[in-house]
Amino acid sequence: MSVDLLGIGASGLRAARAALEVAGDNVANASTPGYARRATVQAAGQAGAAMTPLSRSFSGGVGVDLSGVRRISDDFRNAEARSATADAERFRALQAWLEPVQAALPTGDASIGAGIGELLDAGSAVAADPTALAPRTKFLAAADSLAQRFRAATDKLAEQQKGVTDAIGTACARVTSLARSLAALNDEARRASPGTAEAATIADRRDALLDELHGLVAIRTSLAPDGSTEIRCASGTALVSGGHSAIVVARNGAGGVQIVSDPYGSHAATQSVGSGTLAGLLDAARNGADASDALDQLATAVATAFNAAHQAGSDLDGDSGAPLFSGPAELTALITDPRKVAAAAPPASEGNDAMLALIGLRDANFAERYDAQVTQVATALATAQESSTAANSTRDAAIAARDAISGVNLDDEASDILRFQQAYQAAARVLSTARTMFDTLFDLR
Amino acid sequence: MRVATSTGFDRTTGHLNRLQAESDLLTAQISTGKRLQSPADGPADSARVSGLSRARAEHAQTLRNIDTATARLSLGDAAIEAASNLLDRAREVALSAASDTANAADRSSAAAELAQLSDGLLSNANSRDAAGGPLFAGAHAKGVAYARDAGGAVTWQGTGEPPVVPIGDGRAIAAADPGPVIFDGTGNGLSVFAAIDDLRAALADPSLSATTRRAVIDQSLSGLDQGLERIANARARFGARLAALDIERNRLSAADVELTATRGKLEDTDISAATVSLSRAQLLLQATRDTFAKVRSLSLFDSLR
Repeated sequence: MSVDLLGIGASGLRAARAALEVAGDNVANASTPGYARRATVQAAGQAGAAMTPLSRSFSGGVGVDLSGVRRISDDFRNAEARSATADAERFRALQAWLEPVQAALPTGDASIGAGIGELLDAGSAVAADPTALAPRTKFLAAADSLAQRFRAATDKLAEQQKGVTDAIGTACARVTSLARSLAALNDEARRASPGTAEAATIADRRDALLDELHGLVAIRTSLAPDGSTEIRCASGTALVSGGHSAIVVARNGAGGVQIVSDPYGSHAATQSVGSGTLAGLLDAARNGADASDALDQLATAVATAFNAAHQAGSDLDGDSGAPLFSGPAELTALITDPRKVAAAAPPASEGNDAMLALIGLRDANFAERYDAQVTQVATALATAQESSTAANSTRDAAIAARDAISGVNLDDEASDILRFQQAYQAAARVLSTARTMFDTLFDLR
Repeated sequence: MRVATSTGFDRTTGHLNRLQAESDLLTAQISTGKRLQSPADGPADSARVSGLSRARAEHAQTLRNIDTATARLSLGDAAIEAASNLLDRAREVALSAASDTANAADRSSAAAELAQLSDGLLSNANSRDAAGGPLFAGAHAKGVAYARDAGGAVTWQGTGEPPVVPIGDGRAIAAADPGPVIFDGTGNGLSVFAAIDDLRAALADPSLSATTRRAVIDQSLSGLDQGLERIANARARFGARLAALDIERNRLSAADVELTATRGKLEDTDISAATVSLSRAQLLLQATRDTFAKVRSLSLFDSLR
């Protein structure tokens, strides 16, 4: 019996020590991404397990069995947290890249709409005093300022386009590298035996990678019986299957930037990746391209209309008017000599009939068109901001719900440590009691 | 519910970030006085503000045009008022020279005065605007409206109609009339210059018979009367245009006050509300920091010694 007591004491020591190690692990990894807290799996030792099948003792147990380390994690809550994170990342990226689009379209007194208004007002001043040079100089300055505003906005939109395209490339490269790591991890997972600390560590690393991948692009995961994870894109294309992973790249295709998975194989191209940073970037790229197109169209319309009106007049020397703007690419004001402003009706050199017709272009509502474009971008940005706020709080709640299961609470661990420390001391006391009992027996002489 | 330690930290960081962002926005709104820091803060309001700003700029230019037109009309009015006085005097001179008691010496001095009046009238008809352009030369913006030729006859040098001044909404107003409408008359009417010059020539020529002189004086008087009537009509037209400009100016000034008020409502910060919100946000920020520091300093590990 006393031998058994030693065995029981030793199993208790082992169990308490393992539990202390696990608690120590939990504390150390309290802020490690992907880490799910662990607990030891222990069960009361099978009575008689150490005996022969023929003789069973019912006098007591034989200590504690330590069957492994359990990783405490809820697949459903993990999935919820990931999909909420993907949405939050999508709107964060969209917002971050819509801001430069909005910033590219100037507002207030420096806006293109205000510039068009200034040109028309300057035209009105020329019409009021058609032969004076001062209003003509101001008119040309207004034309130059308007052209500059168009150029600056076009340049800034091009910068946004370049920036967002680069970001898409980077995100695709990251997806490819994460897929490669996950495929490598699949190989390791197949070799690891379940319930071991190694398997738990692999699961931690896999979850951390999946969290990041999910933040980039919408995916569906399924766990194969052999412990490997199969990952598919929202479109159904396989991203990771066993030890194989796809390569994901971005390329310019019809309708803008496309995402191509496995460019050397199936060439499955898509512009909708569901959610994640990549989805937000693609949305922002589309928005930026639309704004850029609309601005180009407006520049063309403005240049065409003002050129036609100006060319219909004649200048102070009686010569017929030259075009006001070159463009629409790199819109530039062409006239610098105030005498060359064509305000009169040909062939006269005096009068303001042509300028009166030109300022009638106010009815073409170019400024209102610009304002409408700004409003469109601003609305998209405001919507992205609101969606981002909502998605952030959903994500925070989903992560809190996930961490309520698998996160580490330091107070819990502290009390566990206290408990296992006491269990360890108690088991040690059992050992020393067993020794005392032996000594008592040996002392019987 | 079980709360992971990291959740507590993340949540507090989130609250602190949100409060910080709110404080920043409110500070910017208060210091710039603008509620709309970017179009996304109010897309529809922002578009209206742009429209209102453009309307104000257009009004300002229209007001400047109205000032230009008013100045030109006032100068024109003053010039033809003076011309009207000169014609009145020429008429008096003609009547006294026509009386039976007037002798050759009286007629000679009357002729001399008429020569002065003729020059004065020419100078009035050649009045210039603020920029130095002739007021009554029609479309011509340079040179003179009237010139005396070698034979002594005064003829109009201008052409067409003067440019109209745009006063907003596609409307325009004539800021002057071409000289012939005022000084020359149309059809077979006698120009006021011809009337005075004929009169002066008749009075200066002692060889003319009384009957012939009388006929010339009557014809000139009729020409002067027609001229005075044309000038009175022109002054009435100028006055009506000045009144219309005045009404438009008042309308635009009132509209500008309205536009400014509307724009202010749309884009200006409600300072008192924003200040209260800022105090609230900062109080919460401070309280969150203090609470966080206190709660997070509590750990069971501190008790494990």
